[in-house]
Amino acid sequence: MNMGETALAESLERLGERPMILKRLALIAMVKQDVNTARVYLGALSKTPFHVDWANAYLKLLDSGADLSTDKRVRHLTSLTMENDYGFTGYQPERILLDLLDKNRYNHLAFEYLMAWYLLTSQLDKFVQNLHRLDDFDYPQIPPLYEQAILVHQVLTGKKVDLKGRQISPQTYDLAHRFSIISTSEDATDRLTAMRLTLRDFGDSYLFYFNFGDLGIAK
Amino acid sequence: MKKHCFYISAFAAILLLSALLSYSLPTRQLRVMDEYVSVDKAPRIRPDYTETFIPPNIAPLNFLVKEPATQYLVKIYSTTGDTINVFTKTPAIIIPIRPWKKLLTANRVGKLYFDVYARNKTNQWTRLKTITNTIANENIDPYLAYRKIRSVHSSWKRMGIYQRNLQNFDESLVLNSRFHGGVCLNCHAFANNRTDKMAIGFRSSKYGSSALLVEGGTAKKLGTKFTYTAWHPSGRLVAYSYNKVNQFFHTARSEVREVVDLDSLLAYYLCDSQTVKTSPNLSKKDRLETYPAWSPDGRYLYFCSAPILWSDRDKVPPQHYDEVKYDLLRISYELEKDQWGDLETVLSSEDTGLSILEPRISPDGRWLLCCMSDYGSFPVYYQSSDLYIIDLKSAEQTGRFNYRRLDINSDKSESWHSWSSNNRWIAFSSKRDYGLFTRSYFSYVDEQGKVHKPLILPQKDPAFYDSCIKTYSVPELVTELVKVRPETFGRLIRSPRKIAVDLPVTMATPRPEAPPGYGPYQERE
Repeated sequence: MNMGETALAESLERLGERPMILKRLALIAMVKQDVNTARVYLGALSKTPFHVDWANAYLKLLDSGADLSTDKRVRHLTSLTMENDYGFTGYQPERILLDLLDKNRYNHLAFEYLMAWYLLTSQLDKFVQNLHRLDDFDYPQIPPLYEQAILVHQVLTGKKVDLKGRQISPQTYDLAHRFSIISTSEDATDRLTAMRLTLRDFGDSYLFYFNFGDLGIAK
Repeated sequence: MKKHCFYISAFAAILLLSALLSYSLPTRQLRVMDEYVSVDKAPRIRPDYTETFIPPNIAPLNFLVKEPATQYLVKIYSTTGDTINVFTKTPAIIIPIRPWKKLLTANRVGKLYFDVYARNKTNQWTRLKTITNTIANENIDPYLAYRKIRSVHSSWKRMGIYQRNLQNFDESLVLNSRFHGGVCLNCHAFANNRTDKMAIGFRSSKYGSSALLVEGGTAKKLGTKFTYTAWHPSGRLVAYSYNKVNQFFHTARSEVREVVDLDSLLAYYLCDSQTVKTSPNLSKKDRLETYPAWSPDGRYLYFCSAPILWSDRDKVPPQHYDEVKYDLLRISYELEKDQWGDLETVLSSEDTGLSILEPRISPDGRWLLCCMSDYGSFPVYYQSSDLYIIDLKSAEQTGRFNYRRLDINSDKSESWHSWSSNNRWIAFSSKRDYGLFTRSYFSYVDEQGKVHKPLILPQKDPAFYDSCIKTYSVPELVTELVKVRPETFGRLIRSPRKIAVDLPVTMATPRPEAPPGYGPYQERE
């Protein structure tokens, strides 16, 4: 919430008093139970032509002294807010995302950002350690990029990852097999050639990203 | 042509008729309002102008009645003079300035009453309980200089120093972004509540970090950075702090922003010789010195000082930043000899358990007003920051600097206070009513040092603060307008010419920080 507030305060200064920014800042203030700040943002928003009703509805709610947690949006955002306070100067994704998941293990966005962060930074040990969190969400199957990363981890460590009954799809095995054949073929004389050979069919895969440290062209 | 004249005459007649009607309407309605029901309920008004002490020269305290009604009548009266009747269909009570001034002037040390009547949908008038305020005997300094800035985090585009005529609603510009293309304006400081000697610090990636100094109405630029500044009462020197300021953020605290001085010292600029000096006691290697304030006789420099708790003076946030507590010290000074005496501890953070910051002494030398907060150096960001007062006269007699927390504190941050030239008023910043948005308040200080319930800086539109997303900080009371024009300040900032002065390099000299634009998180209220 505080990082959002910082980003929005920056936007407000750079872009001006845009309703979209004021609206979010008002919401953040209400999530933080800072009624006086929320009132001012809502007051500013109530002077804009298309958001006056939204602002006035919340001002009325604040005037009534009602518990803000009765508001669905505020309650939802409150459930996602970090409680662990510490000082920061820049974005520290891993620590913040883990704190968010500590607060609310069902914070889907925090989970996906965390896993994406591990994949982007090739921290596959940590990625694998957090696979158990898949159980907290409603995934019909393991996301394909995760499956590819699991296979990469298995190859690197020589250890099978416990997927708690989940299965890696035959398509991913097949993709990995084909990628392995092409990237290790005689034609792939060096890294650049291997990259070129796999670019078309595997450019949007994690296998490609992990091996070449770049994103290819989607098929 | 005749047709044209006819239209003009007709338009003028309509205007005149409207004016007459609007003038007579309240009287007619007042007759209707002879019947009303009195209720034992105080009206809710915003801003809260109830039970306060009012400067007799203040602009009208326009307010909103926060009671549902279809019409309102507010009668404003005192012991002598005509009652002011404000009749309106909206909750905004706009008080005419001339009768207001007349009423206040005629009733110094008297009570000022607001009788609020409200009419409901069934045309029933209700009279609510009378609101009472007290008109002080002493005027407040007629002008207030403050910095207006949004509640910024890392960067800023628009900020400015403004001056407000407290006797009406006129606000004029001292300096803003239009004239300097985006430099960061730091604290402004005046000598003896006058503007003929003043200073403004600024930082810029383009123009460097310098100070603008006004002496005798002439402005110049110094080649040194001022952070917090205090003019010697003689006007012959300026003490200032040189701070390596850094800002960072909190992940979960209500106030996101935090400021820490990684290093700091005090120095002083001698106007006649155009030199900068410091003293070993003002610039200890293992301590952070900041917030200078002169005693009105010029014999003591008060300041705040804390031990440096971190070994790495570049790391942000530094270790134990939330354990730093500043003591209040003073050091004697002989102007003619330019000689510093011994260092004394006025108040120790060990005794108070709190960090003591922003000392300001009343012009008669009787009272020292300061902030105390749980830790740190930047009270405006600390919810725990409260105002405290020390009776210096009593301390001279007893040798003990007893401090007292003011009754007017709120559960939010109070900071950035200044004294009026007649010792009877203080201006300060507070977050008590508008959350993140700092506003300026005034309080009356009686001869016993009792500080009375504050009132917010009045605005013409009583709903102004409800949607104003700018903060009003560093309110400085002054007796006259700043005479140097914004264009002149702007030209000076942009000009390469400046008085070359070098900060004496000591073991304690902080390394120059990167100017804004190169290093993030430098801005603050």
